[in-house]
Amino acid sequence: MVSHVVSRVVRRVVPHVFPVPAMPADGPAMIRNRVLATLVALGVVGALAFGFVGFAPNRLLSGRPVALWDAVSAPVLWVVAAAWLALAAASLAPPGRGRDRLALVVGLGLVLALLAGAGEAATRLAATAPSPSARTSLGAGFWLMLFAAALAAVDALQRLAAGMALRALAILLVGAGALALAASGQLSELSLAKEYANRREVFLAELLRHVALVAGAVLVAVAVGVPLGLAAQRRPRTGGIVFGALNLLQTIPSIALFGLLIGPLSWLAAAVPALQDLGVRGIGATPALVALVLYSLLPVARNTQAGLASVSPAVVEAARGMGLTPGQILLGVEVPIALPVLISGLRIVTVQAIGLAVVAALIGAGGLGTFVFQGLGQNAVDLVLLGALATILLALAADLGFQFLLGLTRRSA
Amino acid sequence: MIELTRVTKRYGDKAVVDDLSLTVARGAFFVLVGPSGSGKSTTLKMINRLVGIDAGAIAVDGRNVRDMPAEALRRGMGYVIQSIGLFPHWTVADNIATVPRLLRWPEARVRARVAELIALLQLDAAEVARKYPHELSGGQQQRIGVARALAADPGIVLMDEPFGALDPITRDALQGEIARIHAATEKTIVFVTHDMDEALRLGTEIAILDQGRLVQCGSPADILRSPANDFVRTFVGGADFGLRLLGVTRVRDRLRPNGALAGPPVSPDASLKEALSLMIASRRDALPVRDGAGRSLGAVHLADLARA
Amino acid sequence: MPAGTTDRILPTAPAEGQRRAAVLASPLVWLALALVALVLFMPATEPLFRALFPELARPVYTRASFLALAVSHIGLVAASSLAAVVAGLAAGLFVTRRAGREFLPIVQAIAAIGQTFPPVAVLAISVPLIGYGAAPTLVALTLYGVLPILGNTIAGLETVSPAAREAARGMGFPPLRRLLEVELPLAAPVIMAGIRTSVIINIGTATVGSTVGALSLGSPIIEGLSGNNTAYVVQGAVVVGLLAIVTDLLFERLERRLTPGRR
Repeated sequence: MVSHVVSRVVRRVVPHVFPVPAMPADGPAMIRNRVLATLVALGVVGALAFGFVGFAPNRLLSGRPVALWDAVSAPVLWVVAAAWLALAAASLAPPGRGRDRLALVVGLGLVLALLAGAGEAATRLAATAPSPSARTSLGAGFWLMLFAAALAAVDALQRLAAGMALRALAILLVGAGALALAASGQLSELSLAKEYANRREVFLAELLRHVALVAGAVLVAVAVGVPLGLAAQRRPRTGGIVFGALNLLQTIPSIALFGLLIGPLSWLAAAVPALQDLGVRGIGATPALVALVLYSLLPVARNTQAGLASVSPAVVEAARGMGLTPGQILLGVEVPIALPVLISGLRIVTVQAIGLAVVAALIGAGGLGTFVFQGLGQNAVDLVLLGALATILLALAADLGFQFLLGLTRRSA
Repeated sequence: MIELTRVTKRYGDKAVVDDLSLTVARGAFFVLVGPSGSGKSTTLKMINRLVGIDAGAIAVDGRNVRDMPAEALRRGMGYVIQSIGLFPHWTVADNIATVPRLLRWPEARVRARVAELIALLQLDAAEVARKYPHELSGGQQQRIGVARALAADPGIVLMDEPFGALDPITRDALQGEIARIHAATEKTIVFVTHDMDEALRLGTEIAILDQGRLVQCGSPADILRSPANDFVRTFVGGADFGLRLLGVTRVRDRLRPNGALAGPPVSPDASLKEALSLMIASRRDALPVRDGAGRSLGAVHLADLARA
Repeated sequence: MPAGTTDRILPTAPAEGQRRAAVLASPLVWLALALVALVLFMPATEPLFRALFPELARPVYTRASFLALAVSHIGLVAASSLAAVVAGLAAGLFVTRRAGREFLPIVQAIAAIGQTFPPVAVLAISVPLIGYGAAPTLVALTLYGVLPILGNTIAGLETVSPAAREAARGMGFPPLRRLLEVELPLAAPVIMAGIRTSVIINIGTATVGSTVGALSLGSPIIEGLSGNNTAYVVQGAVVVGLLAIVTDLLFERLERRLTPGRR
């Protein structure tokens, strides 16, 4: 047994190499919230060591970094600095709800202040630029500070043991703030906003296409996967075989599955004209939809089966004993009890499909991936970002939506 | 009235219920008792057709259960199981209302009935009705299980080891509860247990099963006084046999009409076991017997307890 | 050991034969052989693809050998997964020790939120930051690969039953030995499942990595898609599909072996 020998050697050697301290090192005694202190350090490093924005003469050249203090006006600089100082102070304060509430408000405010600051920097830099094609993109310093500020708010929410309502409120406030900033024109000189402005209509169309592709795939996957999961629960043997096959399918890389479907689907479309009239093609939305459905079947079917299996047999026996019909037992008892598990399956599937649909742009299915791959092809990083960030926001929104739904169904569990 | 006529149930080659005939009189507290694998639970489940009948017939109030739609049959009987099986996603009130709603009672009547049952089971209505099952203790959950079975006021209640999973104190309380409800409502109860003491305490009639066959059927006293064979003797016997016998005999059956005695009085309806306990506790070998109005009826003597 | 005695008493031939039969019946062996054969001898399939796609002048991808593509692909995945395992395990261990426990909720939140980010989006975002080629692919694969390992390391260590932990402490194990001999072995299957998820996702993302200039088995697919050469697409897709399935089956065996009491 190799592992046994290894563990024996490790057992002998490790205590000498790494003597275990009797007490864990707790850091300077003054720091009361080490998570927040770490995040503040990260934010300060982001502000000092990296460019807040990048400035480039045109869309295709890479920019030079511009430091925070050179990029924004004095009032904005003071607001950002004061926010980090407030968070630093909060990390030293003794534990309490007041401290955590302060960190929450400051963290959320800082997220918006950074966005507004980046917009302001872009406007200021555009005024000094020799040509209108000059671009201001978001720099590493911006992203680091944004990450740290957002996590400071998350940490505060966790310490406050915030319920779903407060979490939703925090997200809505930041979302509404960001939208208000965008609507006011504060952000419109940012390269990302320019890319968006240049193709507003195409963007909305591709966004809709992306959502339609995902929604269609998830709906079909539910229509097929739920009965499949039901069958697997009633006949575990068949279930094992079906799940094994679907699991193999899941491991195949998305682009490979998309590609493998092109041949059979074009053949099918050529052989059956009626299908062609329905829009079945070797490339485009058809293989994308088929592949997304195939990927989505396993989580839907498995969670349906797991949800139904979580219904106690006593509950079903009691239901039968009281004279519920099999249909009433399924719809009135088993499905409602299985619903939370089923919804977590939908959550996995939807988030997964939103990501996979990006790749579908490569086979001509459209969607937000169009911008990503167009941008990669043209070396236009802002276009890449436009597609990628929109996808991430879409995935996060779907995830939050399902979490909310889950919270509603979990009341009685 | 429930009549089982030569009922047989097989799983594969093995007959788990074998040519069983029984009659459960209206208003009886009928206990099916036997070791595990004796077919008592299967017998119970054949009455509401949760288990199919291979041969023979079961009639409820003269109608063959096979001629009734299974769901309608079940809605007309209460059903309580050991693992309770409350619906976890419904409140207590909704759980109790299951069968009345299936029977499409008007909502006002459903609500009134739920309130009535919560009171009958001595639960705090305001507190319990809106709770979910997982917020209740096991004993409270089974009270709700019993309430749910009684909800549509069925003439027959089937109970499958309903108190088997409860702690001894809760079990004792619920046994008292179900005995009280039986006496007050005159429902026919068919009750499965493997616990002889529970059977003797609750049953007006006891059927002892072994390997799918009926071994003996009769009142608790009948079974204790004249066990049909060695199996019954072992099953009801053991070290506690004498005490169990005292438990099923009333004080009035051993009454001596002699003059007034000193000591704590005992009711003529108390069991001899209770009388014995009182004698030992009060260090006397005889106790005065008085009825509910306090009138002296005579005395019960220690020496008489051992008399057959 | 009873197993040893029966081994000595029974003739070894049938056991050996059985083992050989089991090896031959395993889909893993056959799929792995098919993978190796395709990687080494793809040019030999030319007649087949010529027959399937008569309209194509060059029906087999030849810009790079499939061996070179596979080596580069596996190299990308192996290097990034190794880095992800080290980082994920280290972070997971840190936040489950007393010294790092304060960071547990925030790290769990990062792992959970991060996993909702589509891997391809992470890949795309690393291009503006790093540039084109293998480097952004490696960074994206490592970053994304850490998340499932981190999540499962925490989940695995947190699910070690308090009773087992308590018993180890009661018997006087010092913390480090408790970790190495009780907690990690018990958490190993869950951690291994995380590594499996991470590696399988990375095989897929590395395929897309060829759109940002990394050499991988996705290169024939991307080239075939842009050049309307379905044969290239099929060749790349079949090889990378086999690679993913074989890897998954290997991990399945490894996981089964790591599950305590089911050796």
